[in-house]
Amino acid sequence: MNHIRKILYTFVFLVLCGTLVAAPRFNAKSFKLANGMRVVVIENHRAPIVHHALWFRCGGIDDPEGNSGLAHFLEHLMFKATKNRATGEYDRILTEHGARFNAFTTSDVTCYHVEVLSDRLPLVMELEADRLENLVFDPNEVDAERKVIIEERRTRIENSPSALLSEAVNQALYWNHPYGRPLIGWKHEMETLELEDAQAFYKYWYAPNNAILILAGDITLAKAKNLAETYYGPLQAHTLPERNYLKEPVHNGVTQFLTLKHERVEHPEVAFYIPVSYEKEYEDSFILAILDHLLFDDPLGRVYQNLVEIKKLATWMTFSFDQVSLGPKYVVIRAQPAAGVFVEDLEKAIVAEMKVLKDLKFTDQDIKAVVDRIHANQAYEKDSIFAGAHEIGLNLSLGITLPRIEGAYDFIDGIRAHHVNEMVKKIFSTSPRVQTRLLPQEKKL
Amino acid sequence: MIYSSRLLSIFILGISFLTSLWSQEEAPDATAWLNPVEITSDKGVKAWFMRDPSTDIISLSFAFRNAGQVSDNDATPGRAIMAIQMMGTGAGRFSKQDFHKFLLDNGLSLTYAAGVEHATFAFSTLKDRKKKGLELLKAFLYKPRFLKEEWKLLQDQTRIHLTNLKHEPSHQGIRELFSKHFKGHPYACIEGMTEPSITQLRIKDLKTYKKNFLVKNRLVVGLIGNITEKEAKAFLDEAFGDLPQGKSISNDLPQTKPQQLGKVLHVKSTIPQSVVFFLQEGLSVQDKDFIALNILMEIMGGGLSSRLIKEIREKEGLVYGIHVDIHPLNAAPLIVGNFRTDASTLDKVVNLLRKQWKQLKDQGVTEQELDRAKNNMIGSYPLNFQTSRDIASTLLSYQLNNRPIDYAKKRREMIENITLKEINELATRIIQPDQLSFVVVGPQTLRE
Repeated sequence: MNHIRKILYTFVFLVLCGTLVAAPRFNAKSFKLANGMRVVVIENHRAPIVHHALWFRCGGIDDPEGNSGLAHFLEHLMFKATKNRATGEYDRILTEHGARFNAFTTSDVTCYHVEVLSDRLPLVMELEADRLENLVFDPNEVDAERKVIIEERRTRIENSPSALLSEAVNQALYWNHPYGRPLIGWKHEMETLELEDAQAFYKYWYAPNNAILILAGDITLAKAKNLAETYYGPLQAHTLPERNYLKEPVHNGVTQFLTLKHERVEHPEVAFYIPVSYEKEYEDSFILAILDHLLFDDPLGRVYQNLVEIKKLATWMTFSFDQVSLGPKYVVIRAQPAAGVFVEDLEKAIVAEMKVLKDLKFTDQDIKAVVDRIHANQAYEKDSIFAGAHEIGLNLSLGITLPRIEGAYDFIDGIRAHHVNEMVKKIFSTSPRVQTRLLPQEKKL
Repeated sequence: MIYSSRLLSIFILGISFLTSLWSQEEAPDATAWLNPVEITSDKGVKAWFMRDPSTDIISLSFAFRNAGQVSDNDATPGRAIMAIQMMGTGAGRFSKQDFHKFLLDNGLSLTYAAGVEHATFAFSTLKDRKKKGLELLKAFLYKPRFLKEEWKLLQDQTRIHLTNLKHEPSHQGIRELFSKHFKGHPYACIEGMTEPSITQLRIKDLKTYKKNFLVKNRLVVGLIGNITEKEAKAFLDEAFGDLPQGKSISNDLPQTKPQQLGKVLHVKSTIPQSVVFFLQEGLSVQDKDFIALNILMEIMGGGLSSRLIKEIREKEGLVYGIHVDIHPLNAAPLIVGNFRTDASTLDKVVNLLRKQWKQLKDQGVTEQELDRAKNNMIGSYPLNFQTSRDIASTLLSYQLNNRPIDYAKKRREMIENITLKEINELATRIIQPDQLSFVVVGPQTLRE
């Protein structure tokens, strides 16, 4: 049931509804080391396992001009040698201890995470502290890894018509903001990413005062303090660069139409990208999630029902939106025309829906039904040992405070029809900035 | 973050679409709390059950043996997938919308899939909504509506989905792999599911499927929750007690062998990369050397410090990911791996891979590699159980693989007991460099 998944994802990590006073969602505890590293502990002792994640406040938008893909490239290189350990040792030691580990880079942040038996936590911290301070940049390894990321680019982007189109979409959505550049990098710039570039990025951004450590699972606050102090305490803080980005100018009412005709596309897809701004960026995304559910849920949403089930113009339709992020935000409506339906007709129908939507008035009762559903799902979050780890790590890295995250549930309970209606009006009375069509190659006769 | 292009992960692990096709059981080792008991309800429903006081959720994982895609016959390809999907589009007093709404309003979760072999289901409910949960589950199992208009919509959606898949390289590769290696066997079922075959399917075919395959003697159940054994039995009776008995299942799947071993199959595509699958024969779950093979493949291509990752990704930079796994299909156990590389470096990667395969056969593994792999399989085991649903699905897959009830406890010892001599003898015997077959999706095939 993809619907359940969507709700769980959107509200991933809501906990317990308090009867009298709302309990904190995760009951996370937080402290800071003298060098500025923030540590958050979310206890859960159901099984003897623990999640360890280091979140850094740097990502694709911090790639220097002409070096697109650098933040992600460095993330790969972080798995190489240190002054104390040869390349492969990090992977080998963790594997030998049964750990699962990985890392990811987004435009805004970079995260390194490990899940492991809780008694192995000191070992994990020793390895992590080592690579934060002592990473070695070997020219041969940098060369080999550059090939790996170019292969990754082929895998993710060049094999996929929709990914190829999305690179052009980003350029059109962000005229000036660095979100316009591909996170993985332009191929020609990836080819010239040098050892020195990666080294500089590492020195610049990988400091304890730019990191947030999340510990979730079988760990106590006292133990976390002790271990964090021991392994991360000795790291030296340094002055961090300001994350000051090029601002996005007004788009002056321009709507850009982008089309990709591709031989590997059989059925068209269309999309509308509409800008949105939030007053309270974290909290407003819950309003958006409710709106999404009311309008686009498969099969309950009003628009979904109308276009897919009743008028049968589309085979599917989705709505998605940017949550907390450091740059301009958009909501996106995507749909695929049903067999025999012209792209133009589906687009017209979506535009017509939007016109109606902006004056739509939901009632408090409509909203409460959705909020109740969110509550009904809370037990699943509590059931998960590492609940809250990702939600807190990501949002703290983006400047949302812990009390706001813990109090999200209170906020959701306070959402009324007028909040949703205002959001609906705001979004659907704005013209799309970009409209796309992904089309089949015209058949040669 | 909505745009996938704004999130990149460093490693691709495994081939998830492959693993989703059959019940995957990974990495053994005992944990103190994985201690299921076998129970039988008054109406004869058997289950592995585990009481867990730490959760408010009751989680149920169940399957019908050999009721997956292998149950499609030549006349009705796609039947299992379509029938199970249709069961979620309205049942008993619930229209499709009501069904969905009832799930959401009550915090219920129901997922289903027709894998290659089995039809599998996962259902969860809050303990205090058990009654409502059962109402929905029973409607789903006993009274699907199979309405004409829903059928038409699902057919339309599926046809479009299938046309899109035609250009999806992983799907193209898997399809070629199964249809050519298992021609004439139910494992080749993936080949038959096409747009015309979906059009030809009738609602009565779906009903026949349900009647013949969703039956008590095919049912396998794993259950976890904070309920007593008595409550668990009542729950099972309520949910499954009235399912009909079906015919014997012993002749479902004739034993078979992959038919294209040692060959290279090519599917032409204009993508810049070559998307490659490779396979050879493996061992059945029941084989005494099954765990040893598990360890061997862990060392070869199981994780981020595997031989293949080291030699082909780290040293040469030729791939982003390369991975090998065991796929113990009941009638033809396999070892299957995959990688993607630029079309110009295809031959080079295949040569390196063959070299590694030969080296494994001739020289085996070292004591150190064996110890590390053992430790990994033992140490990572508890990570498989982060939620009740994870636990229920493990209880199910152990039964589907005919494991003993105390398998979780025995597993550790079974791993620890494997000697270097045993595993290297196994390597010599089972690894077949000449019998590796390849499916290449991309602009050209191997030059050789």
